[in-house]
Amino acid sequence: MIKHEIRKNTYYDSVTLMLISKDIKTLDGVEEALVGMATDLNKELAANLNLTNPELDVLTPNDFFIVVKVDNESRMDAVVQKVDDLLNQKKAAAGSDYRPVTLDSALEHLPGANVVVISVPGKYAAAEVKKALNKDLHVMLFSDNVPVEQERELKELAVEKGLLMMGPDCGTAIINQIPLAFANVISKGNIGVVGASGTGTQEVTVIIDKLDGGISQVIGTGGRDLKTEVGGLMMIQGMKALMDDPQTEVIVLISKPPSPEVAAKVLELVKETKKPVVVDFIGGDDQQIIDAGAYACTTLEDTANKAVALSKGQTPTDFDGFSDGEDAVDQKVKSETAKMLGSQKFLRGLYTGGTLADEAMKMLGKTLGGIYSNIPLTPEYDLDDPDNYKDHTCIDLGDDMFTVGRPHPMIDPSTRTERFVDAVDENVAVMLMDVVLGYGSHMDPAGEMVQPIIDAKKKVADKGGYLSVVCSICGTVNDPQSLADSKKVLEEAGVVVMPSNAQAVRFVEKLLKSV
Amino acid sequence: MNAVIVSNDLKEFMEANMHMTGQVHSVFNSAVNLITESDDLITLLCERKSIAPMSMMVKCDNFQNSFLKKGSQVVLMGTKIHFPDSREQITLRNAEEWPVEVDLKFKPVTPQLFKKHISILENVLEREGNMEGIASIVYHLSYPDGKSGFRSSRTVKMNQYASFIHDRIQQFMDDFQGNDMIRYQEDLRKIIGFGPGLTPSTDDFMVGFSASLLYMTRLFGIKKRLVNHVNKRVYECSKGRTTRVSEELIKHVSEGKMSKLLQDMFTSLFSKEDDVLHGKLVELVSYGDTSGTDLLAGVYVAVRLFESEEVRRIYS
Repeated sequence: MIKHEIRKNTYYDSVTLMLISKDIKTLDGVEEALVGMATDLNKELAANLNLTNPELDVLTPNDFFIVVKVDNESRMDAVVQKVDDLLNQKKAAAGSDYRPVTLDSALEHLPGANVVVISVPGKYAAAEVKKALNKDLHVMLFSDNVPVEQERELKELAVEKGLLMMGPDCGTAIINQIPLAFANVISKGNIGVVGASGTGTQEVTVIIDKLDGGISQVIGTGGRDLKTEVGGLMMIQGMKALMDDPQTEVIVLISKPPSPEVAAKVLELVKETKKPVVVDFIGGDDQQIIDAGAYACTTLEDTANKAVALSKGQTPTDFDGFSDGEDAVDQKVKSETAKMLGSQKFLRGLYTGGTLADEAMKMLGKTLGGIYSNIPLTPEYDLDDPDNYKDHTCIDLGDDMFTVGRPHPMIDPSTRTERFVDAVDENVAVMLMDVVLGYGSHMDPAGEMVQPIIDAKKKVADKGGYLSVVCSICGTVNDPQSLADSKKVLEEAGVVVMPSNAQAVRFVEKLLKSV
Repeated sequence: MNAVIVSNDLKEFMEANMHMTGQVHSVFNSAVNLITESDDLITLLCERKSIAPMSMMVKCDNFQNSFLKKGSQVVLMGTKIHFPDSREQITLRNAEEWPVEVDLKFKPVTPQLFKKHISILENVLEREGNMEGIASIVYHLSYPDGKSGFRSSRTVKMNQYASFIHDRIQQFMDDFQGNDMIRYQEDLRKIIGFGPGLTPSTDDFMVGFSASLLYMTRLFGIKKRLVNHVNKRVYECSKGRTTRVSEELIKHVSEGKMSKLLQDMFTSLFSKEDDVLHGKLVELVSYGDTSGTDLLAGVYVAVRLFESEEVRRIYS
């Protein structure tokens, strides 16, 4: 039977109604379908398809119609629903910019481009990167799962051509003030950063901005760059670029502990520049850094502090305290622990930023001993099941095991919100977490956490205890999300918001010592 | 709300009508159409769109979320548009004026370079075009050089819509080549208004065709009088056969007016600025879902017809 729907004087803009016709033909019980404006020719096509209907004949070209041949009357509701869904879907997509489908067409569209961001499945990445490098383009490779041999080969090609090959698995960079992938809005300045760790680099640059410093360039390298197999090729290439860059007066190098021979090679280069170099090989060998004439750091926050001091011509000093002073923090610790049960003595850390989780474990490890994790500091604390929390536990939710088939938790907070309440019980004293703002991140990562925080606190309160939730926000006042609002909603939910990850960790350290 | 750019024809229209009522005809994300009591269509565009005849560009991210609602009352008051229902207004006072008339005083491209431009156009149509409208007919039409099909190594199968319209467009091309006015006018009536969207695919195709003829007066010395006649016939045939918005677009082209997007593309195609041509063509095919591609197919067919010396002779 032929069924129809008519919408008088209704218009649809830039929608492929032809495709919609095709889509609704795939619905069960629909034999033929046509949607469109009721022009004579469209009505003629309807007749050709044996979809003619007397009510269509009287329509004008400014009326919209849906006409279908269905096997029973009830099908029409599903058809109309499907058409509306598709129209709304198209409407949401309308107005998007041109998206070239190949590198060549992108270059033809924007001939002056000299940096390409590549994010394709790992197995195709090397070919695309090679293509870009051979066109003399710098590359930021967001993709992961690229074999380390290929990484080495691509980086050697980049070095040979005097280009940057940032990645694979490069999550952040800021080139000429343009944030790429996950990056914050940082003031322009004279500090150049080469980072082999995504959220570590974000944390340092954010604190630089908070301290009224600014950055010239932020070059990512990918997390494996300082391993023996890759040899620090991009850390060295990036550092050379910053040494030559007149806008850069202070250089910051950030990485998880490198292979000793790679560290030596990188630090050898430090000796060749007159520019001050601040090095944070998170938990690495400080003496090696100092011997090379660079400034060694205790935390990411300390790195930013030293860099800003140097950028202002001041003498850098270690920063391992609290912005609000020790007394205020002690007072806060006291009030947070006042209602806790005697059984509450453990830590749970649920991080979206891997380097921030790593920093937390390294700082707390000295006090707490072992911390179970999916990225443990020592193998005996490896959690087989990351949802099976025990004793002190700190999880990096951005780890591959959580991102297979779903977005990174900085984009989709549900990885954390789904686990938050289950992660606590009456033995947990404190939940430690991060909130990362900036381009690439969820538009309201703090707001998304509010309900799980309330629920988790209630769960512990129902057992007669009190759950302390401690957080730091990696974000600047100019980020697309509101830093002030993020802080406010968290504080309203009873969260202790600290100015940096390092200070949040130190707060937790004090708290756990006092329970 | 302030207008940033206003087309000169709209400015003149408003200055000539110090108090005219109308209503909001249709509201989309990035465009709003107003229809006046004199049945003139005025378009408000957001800044990411290209300014066009009888339009103004205003600062607004998404009209669907604005005070502009379909059917609400509008009063044109010289230098501002008043919306009584919402007590809002749009002022033109500081808007930059943009000329809508096509400027044909460009330096024409050399025949050799023109061939290169056409191959760029073919390349963009093939690689960037959205063939889900009727544009796949370009692979299947017969052109006056005796060669069938698109100059490409591959072919694209016609969909249901392209199959339906193919023979009619072929007939129009054949009759147009012979300047058989009565027959091609008849053909146009069987072409205009086909395709489901707000601007049906065949209308986009004919806009591309008509606009190309206008520019080719400069390139091949075709008589402007003849081109104007053809384009007027296209408009006449569109009356009552297509949507109000589409009819208006065809009317503008018949009057030698077109959007900045089109003007820029044509200037590149027919002048020496080939370094920007690819980008302009890509920008055009990215317009709408299939509109830009269907329009470019019309440009391509017009160009292929006038590659024939015989056709050029008839229209010179």
